[in-house]
Amino acid sequence: MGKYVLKRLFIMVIQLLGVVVFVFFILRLLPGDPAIVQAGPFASEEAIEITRKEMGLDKPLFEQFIAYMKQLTKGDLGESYVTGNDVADDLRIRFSATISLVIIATIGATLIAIPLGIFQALHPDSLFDRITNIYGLLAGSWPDFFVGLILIYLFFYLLGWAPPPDGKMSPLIFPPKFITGSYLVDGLITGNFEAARSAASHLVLPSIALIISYCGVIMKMMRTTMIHVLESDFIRYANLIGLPKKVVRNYAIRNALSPVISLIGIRIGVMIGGTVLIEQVFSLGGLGQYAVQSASMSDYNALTGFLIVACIITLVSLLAVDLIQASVDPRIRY
Amino acid sequence: MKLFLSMGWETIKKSNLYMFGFISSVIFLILWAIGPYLAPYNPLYSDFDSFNLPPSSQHWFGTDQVGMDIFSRVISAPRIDLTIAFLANIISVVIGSILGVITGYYKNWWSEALARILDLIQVFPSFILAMTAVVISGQNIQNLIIVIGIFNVPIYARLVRSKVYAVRESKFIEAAICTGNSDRRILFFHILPSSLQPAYIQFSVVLGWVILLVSSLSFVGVGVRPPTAEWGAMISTGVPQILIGHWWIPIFPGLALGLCVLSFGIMGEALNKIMDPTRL
Repeated sequence: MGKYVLKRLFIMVIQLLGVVVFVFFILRLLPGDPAIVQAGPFASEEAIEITRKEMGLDKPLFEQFIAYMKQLTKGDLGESYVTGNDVADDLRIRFSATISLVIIATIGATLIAIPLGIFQALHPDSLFDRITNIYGLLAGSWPDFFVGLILIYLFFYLLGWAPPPDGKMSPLIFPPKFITGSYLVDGLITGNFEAARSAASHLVLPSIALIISYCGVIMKMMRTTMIHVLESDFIRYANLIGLPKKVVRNYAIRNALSPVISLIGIRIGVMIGGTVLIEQVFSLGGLGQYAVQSASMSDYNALTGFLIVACIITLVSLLAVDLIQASVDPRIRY
Repeated sequence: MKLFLSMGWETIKKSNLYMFGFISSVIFLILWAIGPYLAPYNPLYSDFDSFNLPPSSQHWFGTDQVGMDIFSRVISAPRIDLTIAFLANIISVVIGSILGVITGYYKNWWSEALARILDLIQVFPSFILAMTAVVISGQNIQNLIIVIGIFNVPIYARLVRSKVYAVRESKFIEAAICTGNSDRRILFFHILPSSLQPAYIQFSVVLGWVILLVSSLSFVGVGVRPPTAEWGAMISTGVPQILIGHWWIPIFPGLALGLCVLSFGIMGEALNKIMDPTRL
């Protein structure tokens, strides 16, 4: 296992380099001039020219790349011209709000989808199978932000169970001291339980919206692979030599899990995109809302900084998923 | 072709689900063609006497906060959404198929590297990539189409590539090599035509995804701008409204959007079934 972890970490370093190079070139090779974007909509010709010099865009591409890499190794993502802060700082403050949502939603969706998929595969064409199949079909078609909106209408406006979508926690409560940036965790650490409770209640609806949207795909995959595995020769053999049903089922589940876990890894990238939209609906003040704000203000540094961070989050979650997969499926380790 | 059509119709007729997807897709295609002419009101006309009206016999889906008729806007929206989605998807299919054939056929370091890069792009949050790219390249519909088209290239490249792996080993390619065809000729005259099937089966499904992407971008204000009738932008204007109970403003465009994506998804599945009846 140790050898596999090392190998996988090495691959991630290469991927990271790849991402950084990719982001640089995609931004430079796109049509459009970042200097015009950065200088703002009312800038004069000279102002744009000055911005271009400041950003180093007048130098040859290779020199720009070296400068950009130097900046990155120092952890410097430039300055946001909307907030006036370092982009790296801006992102750090907002990081945990987004990450906690992604983690809750991923774990929630996995824990719900896998048992559902297994149950479906064990009872194909039952009433339960049909109902969940319809859900699976519907879930992928509606965007998560729309699901979030419906939840707000039902649980905030009609039933009054959920708090209004007004941020990470109720604005009437004094926020806890900044430790991780997640009000829920910080509130628990500092003993500010009122804040923790409020933060938790503000996370419920967005998490449910994400879970509803992403559960379907995982469930469908689990069902298909499980049915496939149940029909395979080694399961037939296990049944024929009279192993208990429960043992055979566990054999099948363990074999079916592997592709499902890698699907979850791939979906995390999609889910981070979805989180951006969900944050917007619930005004959660995380990375996503920052990105949307930067996008609407054409804040070049902030956007590229966010893009790099989002790619890194994706790579790290892929790493995590691969390691989990290796611990479930010994064939990958060797 | 005739055989294909009759076989397709047989498959669709047998399943309620496929039938539903087929009819609904056809309706959306009709709306795409003539939606704005069917609308009872001008989708861009804001009537200052009727703000935020709930659904009624005059305004079937109600009116929004500037007095525009939501029903007219919902049925006019496929015009812009489907146009963007189709054009972007065509860019992806063309470039993706070519790259797929090339990376599948040649076995050397640069085709390998190209394949890895395409795989890497697919892992990234496509929504975030697209959002950044559209903002930086300048926010207009033309750039929106190009950006979405480019970022979906890996989907098709991958599909075609895996098919090429199979086709490359078949006898008729061996024969083509033996009779002295050039690499390029084998690639584009022999392998390409037989490797496209997975790409065009998937076209309909990806079309649905692209519609979702376009409306998500418009939802955050990066895609199509209001007051143009577009589903995502319409949902976005309804976000503050739903907090005061004006549910009809975002819900109807959202339902139409989901229904459209759903129908194209079902059609994709039906096509899969028609092309390969042994599949589950």
